[in-house]
Order: sequence, then C-alpha cells, then structure tokens
Amino acid sequence: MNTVTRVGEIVEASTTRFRAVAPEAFVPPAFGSFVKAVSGARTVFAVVAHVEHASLDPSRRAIPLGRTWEELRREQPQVIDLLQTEFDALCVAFRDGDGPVAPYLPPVPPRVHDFVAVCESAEIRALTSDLSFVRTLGSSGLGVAGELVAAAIRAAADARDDRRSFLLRAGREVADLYRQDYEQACSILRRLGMRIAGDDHDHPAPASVAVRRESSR
Amino acid sequence: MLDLLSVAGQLRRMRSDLARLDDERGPRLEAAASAWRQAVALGPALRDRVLKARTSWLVAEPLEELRAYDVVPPGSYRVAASDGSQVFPDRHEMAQCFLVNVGLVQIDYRAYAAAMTSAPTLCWLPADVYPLVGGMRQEADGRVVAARRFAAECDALTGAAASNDLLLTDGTLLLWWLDPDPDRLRALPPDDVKSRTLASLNAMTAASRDAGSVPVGYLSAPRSTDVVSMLKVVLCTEEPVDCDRCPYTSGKKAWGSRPAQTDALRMLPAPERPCEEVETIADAALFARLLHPGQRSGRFRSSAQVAQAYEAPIDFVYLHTGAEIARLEFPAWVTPDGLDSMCGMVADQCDKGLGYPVALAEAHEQGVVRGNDRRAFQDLLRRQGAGPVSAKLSRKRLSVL
Repeated sequence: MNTVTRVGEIVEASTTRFRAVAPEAFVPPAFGSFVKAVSGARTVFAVVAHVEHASLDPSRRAIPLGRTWEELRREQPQVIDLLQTEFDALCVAFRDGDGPVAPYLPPVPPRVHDFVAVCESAEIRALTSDLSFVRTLGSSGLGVAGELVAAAIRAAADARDDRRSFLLRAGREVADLYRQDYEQACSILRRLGMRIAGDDHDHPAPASVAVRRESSR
Repeated sequence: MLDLLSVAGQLRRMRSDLARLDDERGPRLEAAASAWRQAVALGPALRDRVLKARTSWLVAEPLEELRAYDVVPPGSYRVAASDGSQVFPDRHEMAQCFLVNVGLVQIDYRAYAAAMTSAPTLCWLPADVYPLVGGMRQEADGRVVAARRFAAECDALTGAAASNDLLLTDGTLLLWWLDPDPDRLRALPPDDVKSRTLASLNAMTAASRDAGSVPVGYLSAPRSTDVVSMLKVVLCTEEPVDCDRCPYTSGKKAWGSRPAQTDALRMLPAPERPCEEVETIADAALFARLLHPGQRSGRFRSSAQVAQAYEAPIDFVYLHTGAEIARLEFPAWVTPDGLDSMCGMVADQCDKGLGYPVALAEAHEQGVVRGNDRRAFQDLLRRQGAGPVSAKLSRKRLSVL
C-alpha cells in the first residue's frame, strides 16, 4: 500500500465481517463504502455496513450534557477523548499478493489489529466488476441490506468513468436478485436514481431499467 | 451464600434505628450551631483558647474569621488529578506479587485539551513483597500496598506539577494511617515503605510549590470532626481546657443536661460533659448548615501529629460544591490568593463533574482495575508463572457439585 488513508483498526473479525475502531471519533468511513484490511500478504476487501459512535468504555454510557459542541470543547475537553467510532464491514472479496481479486470470502478472516484503509478506485473497479458483491451484501441478513446494496452500488459506480452504464448493469443484477421481492427491488433502484417500468412511486427518476414485474425465468 | 431475606429484615430494622438516631442528633446539631455562634463571638480570643487547650481529640486551629467566604469563579486553568487502584498480594497465588495502577488525567482549559493515561507497576522483588515497614521486615499486606499506591499517585502528580495550576489527589493528605508518630516516621531509614511514601508526598508538594501550582487532597463525604472538636473547646466550662483534668470525669462537677427520655430508649448516651453535647456531629453536617453552594469555610490548620513530619503543616477548608460539603486539604504555604484561586478551580471542577471534580473522576476511571481486568491479570500470571496455586484457591475456582 502506498498513500493509504487509515480509517480504522480491527478489534473483532470473523469469516464474514470485521469490526474496526476509527482513529478519530466521528470520522468513520462512509456507510456502503469499500475498505480493505491488509493482513500479511492478503488484502481483504469489505463494505462498511454499520457505524456506531459510543463511549470508549462499554460500562459507561454517555449522558446528555446540555452543551453545544463548542461549549463541550471548551468546558469538557476530555469528553471527546472518551468517545469512539466503531464500524462493521462485510467481507466481499480478497486478493493474495499481487494476484487477481477473488470476488468471494477469504479462507480466513483478517487479524485483530490489522489496519483498515479506504479502497482505491482501481481496486473498487476490480472487485465490483462481476457484481457478485451485490448478492453477498443482499444475503447478509441485515435489516438495512437494501440500503447497503444501494450505497455500495453507488460507491462502485462513483469509481468509474462510465457511471451510468455500471448503474444500469447493477440495476439489472438487483432486479434479478430481488425478482421475488418487487418492493425491495423498486426501493433499491430508486436509491440508485432509477425507476422500474410499472413502479408508480411519486419520485421522478432520471434513468429507468426495463425489468419485468414477474420473474423472467 | 448470602441469605438476602435475612439481610432485608435487618435492613428494615436498621432504617428505623437510623431514623431515631437522626432525631437524637437533631439537638446535638443545634448545640453545635449555637457553639459556632459563641465561637464567632469570641473573635481572636478563640484561637488563643484553642492553642492553650490540652485535649484528647484533634482540634482545628482557626486561621481566618469564622464566616462563609464566596468562592470566586476561576479563569481558564490547567488541572492534573491522579487516582490509583491495586491488585493485592494473594498468598494463595503461585507468584507473590502485587499490582498498583495509577490513572493520571490532565485537562487544559486554555488549550481545550485533555491527556488521560494510566501506568501499571508490577511489584515482585523481595524488597517489594517483603519490605521494611516501620523498621520491621514484613510481608506486603493491604496497608503496604495502599502506601505504595498513595506514593505512586503523588509521583504521577510530581511529574505533572510544572504544567498545571491545580494538582488533585483523592483523599486526605494527612497520612495518620501511615504512622501517627512524626518523630518515629522521621527516624525511619529511607528505604522503609513509610519513609518512601512520605518522601513521595513531600516531593509532590515541593514540586508544586516550585512550579507555583496548588496541591489539594479532595475529600468527598468527609467524616472528620476537627472543627466540631474546636467547638468542644468553646463549650468546655474550664479555663484553660485540659482533658486530663476534666472535673466532669473526676466527678468534681456534674453536667446537668439530662434528657427527659428514658435512657433505655436512647441510642446515644446522655451527655455527661459539656463537650459531649456536640458528640457524633461531623464537620460536614455543621457546614451543611453554615454554607451555601459556592461558599467555603474559613481556613483552619490541622493538628494531626503526622503533619509535623511534613515540610509544612496541612491546612483545610470545607467547600459547599452544590452537591455536598467537601473538605480540601493543602499545605500551609498556600497563600490567601492561592487559596481563593484553588477553591475557584475545585468548585469549577465539581460543576463540570456534576458534583465531583471531573479530573479526579476521570483519573479514577483510568486507574481503576475492574473485575475483568483483575481476572485477566490473574490469568496472565498463571500462564506466565510456574507452579501450582494453593489447594484452597483451586478449590474455590472449581466447585464440586
């Protein structure tokens, strides 16, 4: 890694996800953004799925102090040092050394205390080109899976010059993934700025994807 | 196992007894308030009477007029606080050692910055676990560890003295528990635990004086009675006061304050001497009546003997923090201006800490060794150590059911 932005350090890791603490409170990587953990010779790629700001000490809860941030900085400067930001990231791909990106879960999770950095655009393009991350995130079982899929697709599109064609391709993947759940498919596509033929939602959308209401298979 | 049903029954009885005790204390608190008014009326003569008195209790020497003083809000300042915790030595463990962990918190309200750290010290050398205490070699026990912990708290503040205006420790600066006899304390060799503890305190106050900061021992819920004892000197009918020649003890005089209540129902014994009219009243209860939030008492000097071994006597004031009456102890070299600004900073710390100095509270959080940490420490000890723990300890950890 050359000029990486360190956004966290892993404190828990499992086969499917890891939890990291941001170096500075309230400065997490964005929800749905692509991050990587360099674990020895292996790089594990993941998508930020949950961000939490809370007390550093699990046995202490923050209490309302009735002060503005400016007042807090002036009168209670220690408070900010006692808070931290943690985030969960779902593993979606990995790469061993300089080899190709494998768009599936790594054989072992990254280590606790590995650093987490933001992915570079080229890495995002490499790990999202086959769109398998859409299914990995969609099957995560998270309550916010739909939001997460949409946010990750937007982040992947932003890493490309041909943003629009990627969105259309990803939109079809979403429509296919959620062919049994029309509402969810519509909801995700709306979050991508798209509209499905027959979606009577009020919001106008700049692009539309031709998706049939029933499964095509 | 604790029989909670039985405890609950005893708690109910305790509650009703304590309510009765409060009722009986009421007149004594009134007596203390009235003695306070007499003391105020004495003016400068009070100090002479106190200095001439020979009493069996510690009497506060009044250094300022007896009244409430408004605490002045501080400008921006820098505060350091230290507080420690420990893992006591356990003779059932395979390795004889103990751990002292000291939290140090520095908050700079000029730069709006805070630094919070903790430093553990593991003590295992023969001189640690079998130290010289009061001239005798003995196994390190709770008191030795408490002394080492207090010394470590002072050492942390010594390092912070130059860059702070206020140095806060949790608890008294009067180390009566270390050794009540100042001459014996001074005569101990320098490697004695007691001498080392005193040396750490002296080094901290000296560093503070050199740096122009103020070291303060902050006592929450103080139970001291030095000022009430001063009122006993006021209430005494003798001139001069001399407990060794008390006419009420010898039977030459009788004190006529007999209660109407029958003795059998009383929780407190009836006063048999004038001074006993204020017995069991603590200074904090008295000052809760005399001070408003944001006010301090006048300055007093402690007559605790141990302070004679210090580089300077220890003075104190009581402060109404808004949440409670706290006692602040500080060296006698603190100037009147230094006292004013120190009280302002401490009151501000209590404001910011919702009733207790915020820097001390955070130092405690940094220093505390919680149950989980304690278990982790013991696991580490076992993993790295050699040999078995005692049969009693292993049985405690693995029950046979």
